[in-house]
Amino acid sequence: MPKAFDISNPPFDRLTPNEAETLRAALDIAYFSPGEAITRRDAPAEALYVVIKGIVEERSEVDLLALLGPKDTFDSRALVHDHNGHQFFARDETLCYVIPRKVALDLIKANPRFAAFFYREISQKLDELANDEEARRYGSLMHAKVGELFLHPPVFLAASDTIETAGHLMREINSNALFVRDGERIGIVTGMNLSKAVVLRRQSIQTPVGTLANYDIVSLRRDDFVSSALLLMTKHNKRRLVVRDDEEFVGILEEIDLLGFLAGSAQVTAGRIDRASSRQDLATAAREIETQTRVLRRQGVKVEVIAEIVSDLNRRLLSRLFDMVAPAKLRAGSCLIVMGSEGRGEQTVRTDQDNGLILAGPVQGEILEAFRHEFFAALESFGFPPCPGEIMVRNPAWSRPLSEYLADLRRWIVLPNQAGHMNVAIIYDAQAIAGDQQLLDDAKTALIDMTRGEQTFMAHFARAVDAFETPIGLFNNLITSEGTGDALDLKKGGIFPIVHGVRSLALEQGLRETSTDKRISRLCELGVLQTDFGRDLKQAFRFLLMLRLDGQLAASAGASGTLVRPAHLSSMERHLLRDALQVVKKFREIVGHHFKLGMF
Amino acid sequence: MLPRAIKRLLHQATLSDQSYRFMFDRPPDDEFVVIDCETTGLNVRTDDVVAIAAIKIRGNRILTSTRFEAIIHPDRELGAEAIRIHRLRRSDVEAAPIVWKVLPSFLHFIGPRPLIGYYVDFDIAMLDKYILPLVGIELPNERIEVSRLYYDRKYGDAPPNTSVDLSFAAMLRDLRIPPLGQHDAFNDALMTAMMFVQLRDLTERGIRIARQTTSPVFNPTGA
Amino acid sequence: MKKFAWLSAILLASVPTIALAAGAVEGGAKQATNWAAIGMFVGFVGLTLVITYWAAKRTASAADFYSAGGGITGFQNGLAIAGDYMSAASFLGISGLVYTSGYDGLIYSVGWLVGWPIVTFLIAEQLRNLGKFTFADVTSFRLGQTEIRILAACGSLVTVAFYLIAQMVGAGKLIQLLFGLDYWIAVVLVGGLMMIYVTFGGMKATTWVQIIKAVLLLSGATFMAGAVLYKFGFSPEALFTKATEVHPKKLAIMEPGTLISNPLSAVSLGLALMFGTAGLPHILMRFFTVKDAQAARKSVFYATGFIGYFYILTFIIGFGAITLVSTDAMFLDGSILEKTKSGIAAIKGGSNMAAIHLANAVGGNLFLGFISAVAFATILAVVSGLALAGASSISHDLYGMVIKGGNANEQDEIRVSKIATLVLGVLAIFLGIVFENQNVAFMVGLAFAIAASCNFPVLVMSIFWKGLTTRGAVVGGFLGLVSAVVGVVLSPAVWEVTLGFAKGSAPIKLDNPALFSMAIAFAGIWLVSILDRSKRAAVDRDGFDAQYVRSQTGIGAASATAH
Repeated sequence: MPKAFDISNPPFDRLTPNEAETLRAALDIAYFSPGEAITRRDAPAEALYVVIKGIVEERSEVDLLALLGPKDTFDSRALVHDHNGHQFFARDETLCYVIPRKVALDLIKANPRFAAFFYREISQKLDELANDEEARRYGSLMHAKVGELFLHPPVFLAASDTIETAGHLMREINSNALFVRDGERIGIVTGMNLSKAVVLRRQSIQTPVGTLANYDIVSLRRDDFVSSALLLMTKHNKRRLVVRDDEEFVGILEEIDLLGFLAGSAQVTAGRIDRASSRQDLATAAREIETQTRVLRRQGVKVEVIAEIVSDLNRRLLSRLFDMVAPAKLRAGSCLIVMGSEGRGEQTVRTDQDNGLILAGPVQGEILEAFRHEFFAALESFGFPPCPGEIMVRNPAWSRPLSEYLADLRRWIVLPNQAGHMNVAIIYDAQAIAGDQQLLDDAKTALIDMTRGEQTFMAHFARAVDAFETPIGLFNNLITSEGTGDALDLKKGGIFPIVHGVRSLALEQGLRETSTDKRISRLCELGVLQTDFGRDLKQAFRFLLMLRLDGQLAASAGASGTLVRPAHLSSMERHLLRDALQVVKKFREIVGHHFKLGMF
Repeated sequence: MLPRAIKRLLHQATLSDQSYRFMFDRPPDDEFVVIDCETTGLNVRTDDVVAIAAIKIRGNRILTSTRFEAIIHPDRELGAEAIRIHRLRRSDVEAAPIVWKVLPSFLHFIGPRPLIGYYVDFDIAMLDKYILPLVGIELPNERIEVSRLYYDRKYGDAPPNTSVDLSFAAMLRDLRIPPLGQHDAFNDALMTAMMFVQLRDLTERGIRIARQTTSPVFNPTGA
Repeated sequence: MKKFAWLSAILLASVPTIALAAGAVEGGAKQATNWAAIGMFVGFVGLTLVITYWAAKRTASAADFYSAGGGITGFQNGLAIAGDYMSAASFLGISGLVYTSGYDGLIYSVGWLVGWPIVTFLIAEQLRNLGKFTFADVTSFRLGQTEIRILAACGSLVTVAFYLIAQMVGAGKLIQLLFGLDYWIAVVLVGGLMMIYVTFGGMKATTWVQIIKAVLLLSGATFMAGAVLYKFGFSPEALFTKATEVHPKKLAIMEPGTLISNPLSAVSLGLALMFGTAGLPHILMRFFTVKDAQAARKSVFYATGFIGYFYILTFIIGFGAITLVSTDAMFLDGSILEKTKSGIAAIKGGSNMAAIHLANAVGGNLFLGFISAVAFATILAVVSGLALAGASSISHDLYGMVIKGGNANEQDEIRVSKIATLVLGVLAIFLGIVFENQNVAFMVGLAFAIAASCNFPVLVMSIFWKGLTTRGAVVGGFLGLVSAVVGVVLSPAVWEVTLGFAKGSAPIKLDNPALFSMAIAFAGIWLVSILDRSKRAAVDRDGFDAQYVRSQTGIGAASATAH
């Protein structure tokens, strides 16, 4: 018996010890290589699978609906319904437990609690959705886990606490619901309960909340599906659910947050940032941004739109934090900027802090120093790791008066070196987030003026596009390196050359746009690039970003995700990757010719 | 040491119990057996087997539902160290059958299928110690060493001086197989089986396992 | 990957060459095919390309994204400049001239060497400070774009064409000698290989190509000179004594006047060689790969050192050839020897091949193959630099800035530049065949004369003379260019030797026109500029101060006028 089979994993936790033993005795293990179909469409399921390792894709036609990981079970719908429009593919080297169909069905018959799990998932609600046009979009979201949603923190009151205390506490933690502990009972009291008591029933604000709380609470676990939450709310007619891990209360799930999640919750997160009253609020919002990417990608949103949304949210977050942390004086006479990919609005998965501050004039030392550290520490606590190159507000070199920046810009251009080129690139990509935008504009105007006509500087600057080979061979073959396990580096081989080449051409033309996409459009308008080629270049760039995003999402513990193994891609994706890299190669040739890099 | 093929012919002749003739049949297509023994120590001559586990593999399926698993009463007392490693107590083995009772069903279970294992030569040498007196042959089965497959995938193209790590833990880590709790014959065999199916697939697709890469590239602009 | 492909294309292309060579042997050969030398040659050319590929790749494997931007060090660039400069002309031609004329051959070495300090003091730093690529970019700093670019393009193209001819002749003779092919076939083959090289790989990592080439050439020449001196117990005196004994001109080879008899010719040639360097388009571009003006100056310093050393070697090699080649029947053409009784004139393949034969004489067939390969690789590299400069002046200056008025998109420019490369290649093949019997050093001298008469006056005046106007530059520049070209065509060397008119019928007696054409150019520029009263002239003069500050300090705006 595979003793390792984890029966505490739902829904198997509902089995009796004897049933668990039966199940274990019947288990086999199957291996699937990347891209292999695990189930066939519209065929009755022969078995129920539980992922041991690897990632499984759920697809309908061509759309990716969901990614399943270890301990996820599939495909229960096909098991009980006999067929399913969805197909499951192994994305990685995947191992699954195989529960034979007969064994699974016997258990379902014998154990109603176990059965509920399967029927719940295929409940009427979802069936209605499944026929809906919109359904495909939601279908995948339904497989998200409750833990991915925004949860209000579990804050407890005693039953004897007053309405007044409750009201203040609610405002303080920016939540509309609190737990009330009344002896053994646990209930929930909401803002609405309080106002009804005071306004409609004219009760004193000193009334204990114990009498107002609702003790009939419905709870679910953090790793339940979002679909279960929706079903529970509908079934019990509840506006909020309690989320717990065994005995421990994890938080409160509000209907609005659930709906927001399903509706593409960027707006909700944005609203949360704008309304945030404390750093604590921002921290939760920051976490939400993190999950946003995954959700959006799952919805099939295009990568450039994801980047736009995520960048927008990050900027709002920084701006709000700036308002909170910076003293009024500092706010008026400075400009907070984000740089690098954050500035270009091409970041999808959070990397590190790339920000700086331009001051209108000298600022008192202690104030500035305090701000630097507070701002940095806050961002770090939100999960933005420090920039390894210290390009962030904490570093005095990146938070100082405009005049000093200008002096440095001049130095970087007249006496260029490696760091100088990098800094010019960083500044040129910067975007103003908060404060006096004019300061950044002035810096950029100066930069563009200083580099105008500087052929030599521009050529040395542009040379970085040739820093790495494009991994495509003469015969259109993808060149992978053995040291990385037959992978190729998307960033070195494709993304960086495009970004930097476009940046160099844009700087030469004095463009003010920051995103690579917009820069390409402008370069086409100016006739520097042919319109057709510009379109190809944009497409190639987007495709590479998308591959990178998928890689980043798949790589669990935040690996860089820029390595792609062609063997793991579908043949369609490989084909597109080749095309994209050919475009990169051609683009490098163009940049090389434009800046006469052949001379080096 | 005689070459294995000659040995095989020799054993075909010396087979004392003709009912085991099936051991020399043609193995069923695409079937393998993963074996793992827990022993009282690492010395083939002086130590004993305390547990045997075997799992069949058919194609890409690991048939854990039909498996062979046995705890064996050793000839000698279990040392404290062995008890600690295998978590088998004296009372567990006390009640167990002696090795001669277990072997016939084991041999029928594995049949002529190729045997897979992690340092499989050691396991087979251990088993041969008992099988030779019993049926007059040593196990004639083809042997597949998972650490060899792993070595080919990971270090096959490595430059000289690459440090090689063939530990069980390293293999699990590289293949991203969840550890199941080692030093249980069945779990060990199961993990070995998982490694085998994955390594075989990597070999077929010609995919190599990444070695330690150089330090990551620093790029503050995060293109 | 791609590099290997073109590399193998070149090697493949060499296969029919060898087959042809073998065919030539069967069909009553002119000479026996030297398989050892050919093997060495093919092997070394291949090796050079592999090393180049490796070097180019090495620069691409930097760990950091921006490390490429640091530029090339002064020392590296110095070597690269030397590589660019030490062409087949210098190596084959000068040793050939020394071989035929003795001491007078040195005038080329000296002239070219003296050109370097001029480059250092007059323009290297200023060019780098101005931060511009080409002659055209620099002169249009304050002058009118369109007119200047047309002039610059014409000047650059004519210079490049003459320079290319010299390389073609050198490479053609070399291949002819080594493989025993007809001269025209050799030239076509070489031209084809050059076009392949330039279109597929020659435009990459040029610096490294030049550095490798310089190192190979310097080490090969050092070995050869060392071997010659070794034969004479490291006594130059013994070498010269022996040379005066065997040379038909006897002691006269140690005196001036054997090559250039009248002082006018000497002065004219000297001027061309000295000032031409500063007007060579592909040398000017070299100042731009370094990080700042200081590095530019340093690189000229190193380059001068390397080039000086190299010319000393060619001198020894030339005398070595007199003593070792002209006395060995193996290297001489029997029929000519019968007629002239002079070993010097009877050398197989002409005087340009003196160094190659010497390699055989001192190092045997393998060394012959090695030196030939180095010379050939050198020619390929120089040609790639020249083709880059020429094609860029057509695609950027003529097509991009003049025809399209600065609105050409990059893809079109690349297309034009590729077509231009092909056209230049075909032109070079044609002219290479026409100028078969010229000494290559002499041909390069003509290229220098043109550069010194057109590019140099305009460049130097635009940097140093406030009064220069667009009209002055264009009129003076074209006067210089036309007079130099006419002077070359009507000179005895071209009129009589190449074009085949009767001896003594050449309208101009000077072999090198630089003395007059330079004077005409400077005078034209000055006269037209001071007479220029146009609005544009005022703009041109107003721009000078800004440009001057910038050229001396590197600080200031990158252009004086808003174009």
